[in-house]
Order: sequence, then C-alpha cells, then structure tokens
Amino acid sequence: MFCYILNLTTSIYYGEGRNKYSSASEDFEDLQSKDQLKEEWAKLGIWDPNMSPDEAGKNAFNFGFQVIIPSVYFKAGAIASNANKVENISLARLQAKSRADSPLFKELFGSGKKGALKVLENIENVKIPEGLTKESIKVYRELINRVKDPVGTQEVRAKIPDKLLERFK
Amino acid sequence: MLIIHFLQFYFKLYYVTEMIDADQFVIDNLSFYKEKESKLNNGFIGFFDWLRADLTTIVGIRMCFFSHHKYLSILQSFEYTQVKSENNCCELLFDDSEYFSEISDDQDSTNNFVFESIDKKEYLFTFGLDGLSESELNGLIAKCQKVPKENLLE
Repeated sequence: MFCYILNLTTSIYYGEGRNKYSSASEDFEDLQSKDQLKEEWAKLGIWDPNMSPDEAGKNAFNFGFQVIIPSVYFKAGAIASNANKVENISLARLQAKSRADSPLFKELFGSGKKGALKVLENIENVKIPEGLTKESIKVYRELINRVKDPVGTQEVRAKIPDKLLERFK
Repeated sequence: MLIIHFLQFYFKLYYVTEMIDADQFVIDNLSFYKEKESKLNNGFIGFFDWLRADLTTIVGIRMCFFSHHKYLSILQSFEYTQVKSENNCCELLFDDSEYFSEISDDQDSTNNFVFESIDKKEYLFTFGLDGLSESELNGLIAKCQKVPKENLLE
C-alpha cells in the first residue's frame, strides 16, 4: 500500500515578478504618471492650470472621453496625437495661444484683403517675422479659419500661412 | 485710441491720443472696469472692420468677436447696433451715411479692450487706430470728443 504524504503550505499569489511591496510601489508610480501626464497635457495645451472649469470643460469635450476620464491607462501617445492636431483645440485655447503673436501676424498680413493679396504676390520673398514658429503659424491659421469673416479677408490671409508652412516641410 | 461708450439709448465716441494701459477709466464721472476676458487676452478678442463711405471716410465699425465671448450679446442688447453676417458680427454706424463693403475689410485686432460699469449697464470698447491712414484718422477724430489721458484716469 502506498502512502501519500500531503504537505500543504499557504501562499499569497502576487503574480509573476511581484512581491508584497509591488502594490505600494505601483500606487506611487501611478501618482507619478498622473502628474507626468498633467504636465504633458499642459505642454500640449490641453490642460491649463489657470483655466476656468468652464474652459477646461470645453477642451475636454473636444477631446472626448479620453480626457474627461484622466487615467494613466490611456496611452499618452494617443492623446498627444489628438492634441497635436490644431483642429482639435478649442477656439478659446487657440486664442490664448495666439494672443501674444497677434501683433506679429498683423505685421505679416498687412491691412485688409488688399494687404494680404500684396503679401501673397511676393510670398517667396516674405520673411517670417522673428518670433513666429511652425507651431504658432499652424495655430493662427486654424484660428482665422474659425473666424466668421463677412468680407473674406481671413480667407485670403489663410493662404499666407499655408504658403509659409510649406517652407517647414 | 477710439473709445466707444455704449449707453442704453445712445453712444458716444471719444478719441484719446495714445493707448492707455489701465484697469479703470472714468468717463462722465462714471467708473468703468476692465472686463476680465479682454484683459486676459491682451485686447485680442476678435477682429474689427472700419466701415468706409469712401477711401478716406470712416462712418462706422463692424466688430466680429470670437464666438465664445459674450460681447456680441451685450452689444446686441443696444437698439442702435445691428447684428450682421449670420449673427456673428455687430455693426455700429456713427452717422446716417452708407458704407461700401468692398473697402471695409480691415479685420484689425489691435487693442480691443472692454470696460464695464459696476451695474453692467454701460460699456466702453477701445480700438487701436494704427491701421488708419492720416486722412481716415482725421475724419474719425472730427466725429469724436477728445479726452485728455489724465481725465480718463481720474
């Protein structure tokens, strides 16, 4: 007769590569990731710590549920990809991003439709005002695209950043 | 700069020789305080067109604000303003002259600040004048009451 000896031991299963300290360490990493994500959002213009709840809400709406539920589980890359598209930025944020550059664009475009047409005629020789970047031109281009302009000046102006952005390709 | 004073039944035009960076103006013994959104955006709240009867005569202004601001509804409440362009812009004619659209297409954006009285029944809107020619400016000044800077800052 065979005799079997059963030796029972208890153990807590933490999962592969985990130990009793893993949970605390992950909580800490989670907090760090959230802070890092907020910082990323601030850089991308999605999150502005100075924004009113109303403004923040408008932006969140534009980005859909990914932003409304601030979770580290959403890959930052996917959010960054959406945020980088200027068409996804609220008008209030475009305005905030452009307000400092507004005098430079005024200088670039000239006055009215006639001024813009004159610039376009000589676009190859037009120097981009110092201080304007590819990003700021894209943002302003999107801003004027959303302006309800009754006389079509912004439509003509929009061709100027389009031409200038070709230089960055 | 041009200051348009919007009162309940009429408006007044004031000309000040320079831009004044202040949070409070006093006009007709009434204090006006810079409205926070125009302050936050450094006076970049939309675009405006000078309405011209001919190449040198300004007869009004068209104001097209960024749509998230409340300024259009504020101006719309005054009977002497006209909302145009699918309700996105507001026009104010300084007199009974007609204007021509073809030459009224500035889409300027300089120093466009808003000040409000404490009871929020009267407003001041400021406009930079650097986009106007000398003859346009002189014609406009003739329609305005000139106000010394120090009077505004009393």
